[in-house]
Amino acid sequence: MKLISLQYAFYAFLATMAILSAAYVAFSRKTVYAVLALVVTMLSLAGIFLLIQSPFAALIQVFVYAGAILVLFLYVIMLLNPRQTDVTIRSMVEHRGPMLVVAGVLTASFFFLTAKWLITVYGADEFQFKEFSLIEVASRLLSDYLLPFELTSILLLMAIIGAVLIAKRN
Amino acid sequence: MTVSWPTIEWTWAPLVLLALTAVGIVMADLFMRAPRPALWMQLGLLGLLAAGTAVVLKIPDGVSAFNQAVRYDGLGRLGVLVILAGGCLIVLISHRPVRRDELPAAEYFALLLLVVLGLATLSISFELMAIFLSVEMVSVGVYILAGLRRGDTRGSEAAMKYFVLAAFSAGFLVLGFAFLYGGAEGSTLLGRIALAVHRPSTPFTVGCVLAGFALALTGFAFKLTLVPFHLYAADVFDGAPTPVAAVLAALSKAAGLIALIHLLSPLRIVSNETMQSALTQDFTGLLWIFAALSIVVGNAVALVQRRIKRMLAYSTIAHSGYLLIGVLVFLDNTVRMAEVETAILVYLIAYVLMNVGAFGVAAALGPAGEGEIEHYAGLARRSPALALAMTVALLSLTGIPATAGFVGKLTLFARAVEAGHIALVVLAVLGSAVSAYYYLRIVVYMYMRESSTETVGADTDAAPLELGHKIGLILSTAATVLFGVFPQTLLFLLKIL
Amino acid sequence: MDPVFFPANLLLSLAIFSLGVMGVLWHRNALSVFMSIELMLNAGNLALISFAQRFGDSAGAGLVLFVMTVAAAEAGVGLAIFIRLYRQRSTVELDKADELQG
Repeated sequence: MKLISLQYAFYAFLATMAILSAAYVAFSRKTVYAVLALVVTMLSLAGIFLLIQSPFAALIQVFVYAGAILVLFLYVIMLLNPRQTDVTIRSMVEHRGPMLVVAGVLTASFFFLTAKWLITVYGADEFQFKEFSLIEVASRLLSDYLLPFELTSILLLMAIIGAVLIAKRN
Repeated sequence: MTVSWPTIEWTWAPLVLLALTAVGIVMADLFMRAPRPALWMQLGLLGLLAAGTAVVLKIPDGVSAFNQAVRYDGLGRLGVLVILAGGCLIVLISHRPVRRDELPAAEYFALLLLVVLGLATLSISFELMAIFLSVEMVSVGVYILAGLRRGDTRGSEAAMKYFVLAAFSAGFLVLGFAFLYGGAEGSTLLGRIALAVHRPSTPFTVGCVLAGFALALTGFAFKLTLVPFHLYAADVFDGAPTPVAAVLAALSKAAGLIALIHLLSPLRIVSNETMQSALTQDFTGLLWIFAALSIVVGNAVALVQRRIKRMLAYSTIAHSGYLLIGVLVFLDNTVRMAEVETAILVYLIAYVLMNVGAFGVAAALGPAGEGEIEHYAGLARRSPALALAMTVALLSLTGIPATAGFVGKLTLFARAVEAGHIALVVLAVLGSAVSAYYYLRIVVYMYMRESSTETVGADTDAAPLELGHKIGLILSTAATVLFGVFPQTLLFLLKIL
Repeated sequence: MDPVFFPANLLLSLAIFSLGVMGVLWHRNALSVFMSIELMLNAGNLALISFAQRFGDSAGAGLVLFVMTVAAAEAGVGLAIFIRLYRQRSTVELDKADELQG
């Protein structure tokens, strides 16, 4: 009993952290702080992955996302002068006012409709979260998901060629 | 725990051939002293043709693999062939731009092949993750290719715009696919999602499927440049190298449309079960709005464009609207599936051919031909062959009889009338009438205006056109006319392939 | 452990996704826009893994891996494009990427 309430408290903490840091990423203009907030979001999500018995997902979330991708972000921001990273996309900015209103209303209504529907439709059903071993995950990846698995390798190859081609000086 | 290894089958062959050719080109380039663009072009063509041959000879209609994750159904299998053929044409019309802009040829053709591989996979995938990854392969490839020109800010800017919007739409796709995955109770196979639609187990899964389809449709609307998700198209087309714009305009639309049809196929009404037909009606409404908006906005904005590639961008937006009519007809069970598929394929083939033709001529003319429409003044005198190819492509885009575009529109709209989408067809026909103004304006410029001093720029690139480029333009123009004058040949081809 | 985490996770995922969408529209800075997109992808990941655990699909973590691969590939190429644009801009002295008429 005590363990379960501790889990609730832990979950509530992680969820709050995730939402707050996500809001910071979404609305702050300070790029470096935003990256750090993004790290917090991702670590909180990794914690939640652990709570629902998915340690492998939590692990790659920390390694790949928080570890690799965000370090790349930080590196790029440090490489460029933070004050000059203000590369704007004019065609989007031009329509910004009406687009923001429309999208905000749409997103908010989508969120509330789905939330309302979730709360009304989703009854308390009985199931247990089950932890899958890495072997089970891997064997699914190499059988049912072999095609997407191979496609990721080609995607990464393209990304390597592309990053080298684009970033290299003449 | 035993692992069941999938057996090696022919279904792999086209994909493996394309990937191997691309990797081979990049590897071989390491051992070359001097750049060899012509060689890489020929190798690329060889890979595409080999993949096409494998499909035609070794993969019969309806074969599936990977536990139903891949299926060469009628639409998908012929769609792969259309994409491979279109890929060949685009490799050919890359000849001039690659040489002129000194693009890194090996990487260019390798990435082009991998993009084609992504598009081919996209049109035969029946599994959410494969669809997602092939969509991403196309996006990543295209924004690398768009930013490939050295020292060109316009290209980099186009690459960045496409990158931001492609990533944005990927976000919608991921969440949408997650909800579909939940709706199918933990399966990413489209077959299982169809099951969830036809025999829903709980209201919860129904809601998941609904939310999933809505989000995935939003993601696809970006890829298909449907209004109101079209804002990036004109900028990207204008800034990217012309053959890359052609990939986006023609091939990526074709594959995206086929994937959208596969994705929405669970919604095709099989009987008048209340749940499913209600769901379908919601989506029909949504698609209707997308189609109508794309036709109206695409045609209207194309009227005022002064640069050729921006005009072509808005014209492809209008054409996406017409293509969406095909999806609407597909969802209706009053028209036979085979007939709808033929109509869509005929339209797609015509669409690919005429777009390759138009972009191919623009690419052949160099910076001037890719810029202002005024530069086309007097082209008929300077290079009559290019003017003729452009005229055929533009007439076909308008839908003038005796061109492939007319046959495509006719078959598609006939099916749409059969299915009762009369209002939309009227709108599409009106849109085509309006489009005649902006397409034929270029023809008027080419044949009836004298070239002013400003158009001299078009002549600076007057070196004789490369053989490959010539062949590409001749093939696409000839096919546009052939399929327009003798539509039976096209139907015959679709039957025997 | 506890079934209630599942609907809670879906709500959390929707909240983060909505924040991501708003962030994309809010920011002018391409880098911040891209970070908001990462939020959207993360929300998708959370929904994926929650559904996988709910319906007992062992491939769930694998699906998350695919999405992360895509995110990594995008980040690699995207940030390269960003650096290149910045370089060209600082040499060509263009204070905004607006050469293409919007």
